[in-house]
Amino acid sequence: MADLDTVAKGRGQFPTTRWSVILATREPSTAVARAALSNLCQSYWYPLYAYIRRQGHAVEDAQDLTQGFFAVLLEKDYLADFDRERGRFRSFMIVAFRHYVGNEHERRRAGKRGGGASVLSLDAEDAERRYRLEPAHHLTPERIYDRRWALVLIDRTLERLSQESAPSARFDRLKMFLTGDPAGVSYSQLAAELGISEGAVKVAVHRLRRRFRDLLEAEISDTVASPEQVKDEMRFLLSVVSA
Amino acid sequence: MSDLPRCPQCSGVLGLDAAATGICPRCLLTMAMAGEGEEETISGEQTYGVYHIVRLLGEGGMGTVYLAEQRHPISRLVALKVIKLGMDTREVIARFESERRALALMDHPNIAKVLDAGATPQGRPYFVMEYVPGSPITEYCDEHHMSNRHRLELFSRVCQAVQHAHQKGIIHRDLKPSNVLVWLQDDKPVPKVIDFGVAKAIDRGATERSVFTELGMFIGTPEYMSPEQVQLIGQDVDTTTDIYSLGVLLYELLCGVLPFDSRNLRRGAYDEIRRIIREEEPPRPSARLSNLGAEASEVAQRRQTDAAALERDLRGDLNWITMKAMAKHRGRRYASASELAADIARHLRDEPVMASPPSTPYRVGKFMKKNRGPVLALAAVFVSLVLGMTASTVLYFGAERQRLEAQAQRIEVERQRGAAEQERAEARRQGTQAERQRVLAEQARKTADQQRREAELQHAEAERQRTVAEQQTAEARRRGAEALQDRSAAEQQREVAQQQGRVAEQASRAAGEQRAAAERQRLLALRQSYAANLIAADLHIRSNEIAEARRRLLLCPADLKGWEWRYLLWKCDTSLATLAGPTTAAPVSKPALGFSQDGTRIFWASSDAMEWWSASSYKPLGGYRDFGRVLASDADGVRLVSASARDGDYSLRFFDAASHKVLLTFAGHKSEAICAAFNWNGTRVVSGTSDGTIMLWDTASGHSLARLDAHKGGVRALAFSSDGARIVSGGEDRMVRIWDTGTGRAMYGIPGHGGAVLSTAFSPDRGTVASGSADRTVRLWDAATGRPMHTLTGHECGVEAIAISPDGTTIASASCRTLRLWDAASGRLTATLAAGWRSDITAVSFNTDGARIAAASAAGEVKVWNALTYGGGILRRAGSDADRLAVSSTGARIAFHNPKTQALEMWDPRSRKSTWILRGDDAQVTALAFNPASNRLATGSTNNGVRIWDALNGHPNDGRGMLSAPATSLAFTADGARLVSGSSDHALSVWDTASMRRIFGATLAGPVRVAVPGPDGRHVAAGTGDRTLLVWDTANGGPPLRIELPVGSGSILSAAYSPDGRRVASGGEGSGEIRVWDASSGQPLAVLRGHSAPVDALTFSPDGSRIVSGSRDKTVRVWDAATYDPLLVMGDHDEAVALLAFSPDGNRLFSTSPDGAVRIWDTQISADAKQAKEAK
Repeated sequence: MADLDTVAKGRGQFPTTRWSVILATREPSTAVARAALSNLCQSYWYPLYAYIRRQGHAVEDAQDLTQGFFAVLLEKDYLADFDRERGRFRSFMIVAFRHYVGNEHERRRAGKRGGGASVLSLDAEDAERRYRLEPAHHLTPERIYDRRWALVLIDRTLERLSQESAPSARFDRLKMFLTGDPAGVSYSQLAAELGISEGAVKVAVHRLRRRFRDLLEAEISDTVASPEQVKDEMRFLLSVVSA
Repeated sequence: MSDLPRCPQCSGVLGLDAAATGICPRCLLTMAMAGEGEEETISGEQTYGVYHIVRLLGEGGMGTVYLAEQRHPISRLVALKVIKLGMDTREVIARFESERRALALMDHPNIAKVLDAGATPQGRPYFVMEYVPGSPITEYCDEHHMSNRHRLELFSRVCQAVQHAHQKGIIHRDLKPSNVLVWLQDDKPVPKVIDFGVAKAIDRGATERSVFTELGMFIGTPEYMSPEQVQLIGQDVDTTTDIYSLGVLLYELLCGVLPFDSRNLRRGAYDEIRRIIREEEPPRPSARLSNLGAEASEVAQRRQTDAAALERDLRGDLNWITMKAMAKHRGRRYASASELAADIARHLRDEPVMASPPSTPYRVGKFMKKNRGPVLALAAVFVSLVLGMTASTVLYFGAERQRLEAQAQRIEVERQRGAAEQERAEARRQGTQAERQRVLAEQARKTADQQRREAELQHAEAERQRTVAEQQTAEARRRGAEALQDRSAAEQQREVAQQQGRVAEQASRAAGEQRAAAERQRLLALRQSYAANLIAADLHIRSNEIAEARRRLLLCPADLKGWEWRYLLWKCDTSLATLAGPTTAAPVSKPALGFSQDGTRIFWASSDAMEWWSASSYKPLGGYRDFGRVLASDADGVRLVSASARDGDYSLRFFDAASHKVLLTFAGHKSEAICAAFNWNGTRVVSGTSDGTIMLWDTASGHSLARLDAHKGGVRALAFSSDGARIVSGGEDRMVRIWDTGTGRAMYGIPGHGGAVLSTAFSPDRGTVASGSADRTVRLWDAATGRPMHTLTGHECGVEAIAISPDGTTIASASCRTLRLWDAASGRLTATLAAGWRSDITAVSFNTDGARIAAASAAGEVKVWNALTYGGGILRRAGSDADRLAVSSTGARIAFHNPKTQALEMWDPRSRKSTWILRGDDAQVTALAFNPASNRLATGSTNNGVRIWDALNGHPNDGRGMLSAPATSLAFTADGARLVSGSSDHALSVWDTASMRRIFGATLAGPVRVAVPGPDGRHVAAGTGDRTLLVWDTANGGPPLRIELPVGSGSILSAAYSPDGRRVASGGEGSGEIRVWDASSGQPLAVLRGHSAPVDALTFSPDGSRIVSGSRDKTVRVWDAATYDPLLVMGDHDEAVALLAFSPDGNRLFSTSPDGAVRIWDTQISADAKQAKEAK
């Protein structure tokens, strides 16, 4: 199985990302596509959970539905209805999920239970705990879904950045500079603390920012269909976390 | 709203997760987006033309600066600044070129030259500048602890550099400490101004000048921007803008802080920044310093002085110079940088500065300071002048007198010829004296001359003063001219102001709109906060966190509270009363709790006290103390059994509670007694110990009747059956054992519990034994065979106490702070009685008629509930189905059709009995409805008849309506005067209920599925289960109003009128949507989304403020009928909802489900009213 986590370095080269692979495949049940889809789902299931909870479903119901959705996702060809040219994974997920929830209610009314064993390990308790921490403001379920998506994406990028950076203690100090020059800490202070020259600090910060950008773009690329969509998606995500 | 955590850079709200990591997602994404196109330039050789990158110097808002080596045509170090704004490179380079010549002419030791400009291979502009290895001027001065005097000298040179550039026509536009670098050259600090010309080149033009990028991040440094720079609508920037920035820089150099605090400046939106810079007067440097408090001494230390001296130093000239340079109006600033430098120089020479106001004390003061020596001499001269004049006057008069005396003497001489010689000698002497006088007078005259000369010197001095004064006047005249200029500028301003006035009008209109919008927002926020608090309270109640739930409910705004709020509040504590027990120091393990036989009193006995209350008024009646450790009491609380407190004494005391007398002692146990029980008439007591022994006692004699080795491990629970023939015990060995009281022998043991058995009880008919255990279950066993019947699960801790109602139908179990009621026959949970207990519940007891249940906690609280309705819960008839169900408006009666017996039954939930049963044709009902106004029941039956009955006794009314097919739905109007029926042959009929005459009829397109009358009785809405709802005005008899759902929606399954008849709500199949319509025009008003399954039940609250809907998704939802906001989701319905109805007072909500159960949702008010009624 191909390693689909390769991140392209440098610009102008769009890697075979997970989503683009899935879209390109005609057969949803090929091993490669399934692995890719499973991979993506494992990363991004929580926003769906938050969505369904915000809709008003009770905890157990929400857990059931989320688990059940992923069970059938890899079996049914939801992709068939989906706009392959322009579709992004983020939209695909919510649309497919809505379909599923609607169908599931029909099924329950008729007395049938959902089928398929869950192929994903979802930490249900953790999900509810996280959901409880969601700010209780007026976000619609769709909005909460988008916002959570963006935050999950950023979290994952930060996580990868952290894993790449060693030693981790230094990363903890440097990451404060990721968003800009923070008030209260100067380069010289940090240089003294880390025992390196101020110039080296500046270089490290510069590198970190660059790397974050690269990883973020890679992460986004994994969920869009073509390179042109990356910028657009990034702008969308910014608007969603700015609200 | 309390302060939410905000990102210090972008002021955006940080979510909880961002607050934890400290990284603002907004800033992160913005950074990622802004950095587009950066190349990796550090590693490896990077070349920009002839420039080779050495290392990174820094990153700023506008770009990145590198140290580079120029190799060609000369070798030197340069600074290379790569601009990262998204600009058209050609435009930037073009603008730069236009200035290039002027830049090339600049040659000043304190200006860093801009050498070159170009574009990177990727197309981004860069500038090459003279490399200055210095620190920003403010840092440099602080690090070297330079006194203010030295700073001023340094600053003057910066001014001169700026002056030089201005003369060449170059404005910097971005003067700030990081653009004024200082370094040591030959042991002397040299300032250099960098970045000349760069700001202009990348400036987008006055009309687009902005402090933010489109993403809202700062690129300029607002702290140093002049008011005209900040202005959006273009004013041209001239040299005075640099003067302003210099003024800010001077300010910072002198008192260590900026005039406008960075945080304050950056906190607001752009408009706020503009306002502050353009309108707010910054504090004077001296005032700013003194307001720093403790920091001031640090600032002074860096200037080699102390805070007080520094403040004094700043007062006066330095204040005025700085403020003049920073004047809001550029005409009031120094006209040139050299003027600024000149005034600073004057200050350093103690001369009056231009910036000061022309006041006499200032002049004199300055003068005095400067000419200290001459001033003192002048004073001395004055004094001697005065003294001299006095001396000569005195002498003059003296001389006159002498002359007169001499004349008198000559007359005497003629008389006295003899004394002529003496006389002549005398005269000669006097003449000598006169000579001496004349000499003195000469001297005086000389002195006066000298003084006159000195006065002339003074005059010359005064002349000089006058010259200075003339300079002042000239200055004042110049200012007057400026004022004239200002006036004409003011004229222009007035025109602009007029225009702005018009704009302002628009703005105020917009502001008015904004205010309205803000008001709407406020209301919206209030409503959202209400909804959020409701949801939170609901969650807390479900998790049994009652105190938290109450807190949330009390936070709700008062005028938004509705039924759902009262319902949640009531859910927090559904008890009728809380009786405060005595505060016992020792935690009570198993108190004896019970009602007196006559039901009038409640008693409670524990470790060392006993309390009585009235069961009707719940008032305390008194208590007793000092019983030792009470283990059990008899049914009436008259006699008690307690264990001894003394070590080693395992006997039990048999007390009379009232007299406190020990009647008997039961001796015989060999270890500590843990529990005991009385039989029903108090003739027997059974006790159990920690070593597993049970003993049976006769209370008349005190003899032991039996001794049993009952359990391995302690005996934890004991109970008699109601006739006393059996005893059930529970032990730590997890066994439940049944004993025959008569023979004293064990009958059998029941295994099965997974933990120690903590509580046991017999059912009144002796048929069932219940046991509660540490395994968190309650198990019901057949008492005869020991066969397990039901296992009741759901408790979260060990079940410490159980009780069975006197009629055997209900089991009460207590575990931690939860009290649950179960139906004994089916084992299903009937209700959870919620209350905010302070500690765990340890005892439960029903009263003799089963109408009340009391529970006590280890903290000594006792709560009492209504055991039949407990205000809410589920009413089920034992083991039967119902296919038609109707609830009376108060919930006192439930009518249903029993398919098994083919009978129509009227059921009283209180007595749990059917009050009447009907059989026969008319009893084969196809539809049922209660009349809300009177106790009438309407039925539609398979024989096509529609009849009205007296609900109390089942007697039919006269008059039977006949349809041509069985009725499928029935509904009364609110006053009960009309009845609407829909039947399977598509007929809709309206009946007059008094006569059962059909007064209106219509035929629909299909079988009538929905038929509801409007509150006025005139209108009827009906549907056939498709997408339409038809509304008839029965008085008019025209065609009906047609309300139609959009294509693709499911069918309409339910409908309800608002109490004012103006709106109709419909619920249907399509994704559980509820739609609200105007009842007279059919116009759609709202769509309520939330249910995930078809909505079968729909109703408005009687006050019209709420819409309540029930669906097959097993939830009941409450909506605000005015704003259509969702308010509450009651998710614990656990069956599909078939019907919903309110009691007429709007306090109780009833729902029915297809399985025949009726659920009651009560509210606080209703429970209070009940209590008040019962207290009488």
